[in-house]
Amino acid sequence: MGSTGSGHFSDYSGSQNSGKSGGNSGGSSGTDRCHQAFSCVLEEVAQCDYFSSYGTLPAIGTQVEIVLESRLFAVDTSGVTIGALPTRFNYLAACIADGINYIGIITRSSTSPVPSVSADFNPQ
Amino acid sequence: MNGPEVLLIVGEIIVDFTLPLPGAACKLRLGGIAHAARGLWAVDYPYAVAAICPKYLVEQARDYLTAHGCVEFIWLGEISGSPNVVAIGDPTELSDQGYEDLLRDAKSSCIFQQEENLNPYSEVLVFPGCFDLAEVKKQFSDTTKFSFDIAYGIADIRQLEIYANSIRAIIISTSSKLFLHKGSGNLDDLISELQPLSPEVFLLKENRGGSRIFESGKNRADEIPATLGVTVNSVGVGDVYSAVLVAFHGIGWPEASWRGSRTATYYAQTTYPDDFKRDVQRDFKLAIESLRSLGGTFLPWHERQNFPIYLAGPDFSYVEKQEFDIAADSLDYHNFLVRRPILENGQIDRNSEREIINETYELDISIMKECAVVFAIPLGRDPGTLVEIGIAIEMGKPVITYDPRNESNNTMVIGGSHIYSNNLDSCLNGLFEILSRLREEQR
Repeated sequence: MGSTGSGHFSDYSGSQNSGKSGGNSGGSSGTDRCHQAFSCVLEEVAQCDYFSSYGTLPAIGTQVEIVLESRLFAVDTSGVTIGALPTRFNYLAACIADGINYIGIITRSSTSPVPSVSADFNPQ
Repeated sequence: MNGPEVLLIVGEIIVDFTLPLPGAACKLRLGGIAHAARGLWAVDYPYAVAAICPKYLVEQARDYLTAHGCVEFIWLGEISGSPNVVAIGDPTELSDQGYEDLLRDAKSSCIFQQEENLNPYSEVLVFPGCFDLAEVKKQFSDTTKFSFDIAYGIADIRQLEIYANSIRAIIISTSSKLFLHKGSGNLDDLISELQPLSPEVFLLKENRGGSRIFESGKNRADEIPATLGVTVNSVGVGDVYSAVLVAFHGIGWPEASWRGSRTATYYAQTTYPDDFKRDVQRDFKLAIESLRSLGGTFLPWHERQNFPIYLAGPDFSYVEKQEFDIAADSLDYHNFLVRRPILENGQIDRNSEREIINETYELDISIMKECAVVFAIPLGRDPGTLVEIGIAIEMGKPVITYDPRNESNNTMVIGGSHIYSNNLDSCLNGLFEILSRLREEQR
């Protein structure tokens, strides 16, 4: 009978995650959420400039990117705000500050029953 | 040009062992002041350690901390009678974390008299524990400034009287027994007790509800919102906050609080040190103004009772409902006013007369009307909870649906709920966010 993950202090910076010890060992998980793609439903679409100005919403397939203003917004290639990202994506602000950009594609766009936009984003 | 002043951290070094849970492996790591040390390492702030620990841990702790930025490791005292191992049942602090400090009743300590080598340290952060604070004080010069995180290890604030007029910061958490005893009902009482110590600043860490920092001479506290995310391990998170706060106090206490709070948030989200440091270093590239504009969740401990929660679910004595009970405990732990209609109005027989059923229905509805939100936990064949969700939606009350058994994965339930999840941590975060917004709207 053996025990796992508790034989020694393994969380040293720079050490490898052996993957065999059974515990969460090593210095790094090997993942970085700043470099992960994600999908989201935008918020406050009706209040943002695109819908306010044009009375409509960008078509499916339209390219968008994320910018940090007072909060995180999705904007079109002209910089017009389409919607805000939910606050659970606020971690992206630090990713953007670190030089990572997020380019996306509108995957769903509907003005009825309420203005609503969804998008898929990829880190660049 | 000189770099920043080295911060000396004083306290116990402990072995933290987080027990394995379904879906989560065990985790062994150095705890106690090692958490604060990791925080300072992540922000590249120079620090030294004066450790009180069992002899068997000294070399391992020295090795580990030296590899993580510690410029000097001093074995300040020895713990005897106990291995200084803490078993942790709930690393996410959904409720009381259930620390088990092994052989704690047999634990004792002895502080070693140092030969001058603590004198050069003028900025010291102490995490009290099983050691004599008066003995520690003797090791330093009269001009040393001390900060204290008194979440643990202090039974009476008067223990700090010997440090009066040399205190930079006093820090406490709402999860501390001392806070629950002295400040849970009325924070002014606790602040009054701290006055004779003349601290520059007092920080109250309020878990998922953010924190408040009270500066001497200022009329009102600065409010630092929490940034909520998936909690991986909350053990030591408050220590990281304290260390970064004290280290960066030179940029101003409110700003230092923001940095401390954000660093602590990242510490809660991973137990991998390199992931932690990478995320913190990125965050430091954001200006304080950006952090402020992004905001977060702020719900002070003492205002939570202003937002009663209607707890909908099969709260019957004859139902197996451990998930319900855990959630209820969690809400209590976070100082919410939880209204449990079945407990308040009574559990009626299945074959009760129609008049009794009608009366109970009306009483339950009246409780719901008095509540700010509905926290629903549908379990098993429980149409009552689903009806309560529907009524709450129609009343315009925010609904959080915690569905631990995935039995109500339904369009109307999900679509009508502000938060729908089988994960209590996510539901708790959602609750804090909703009530934080309600509080903001009411102001």
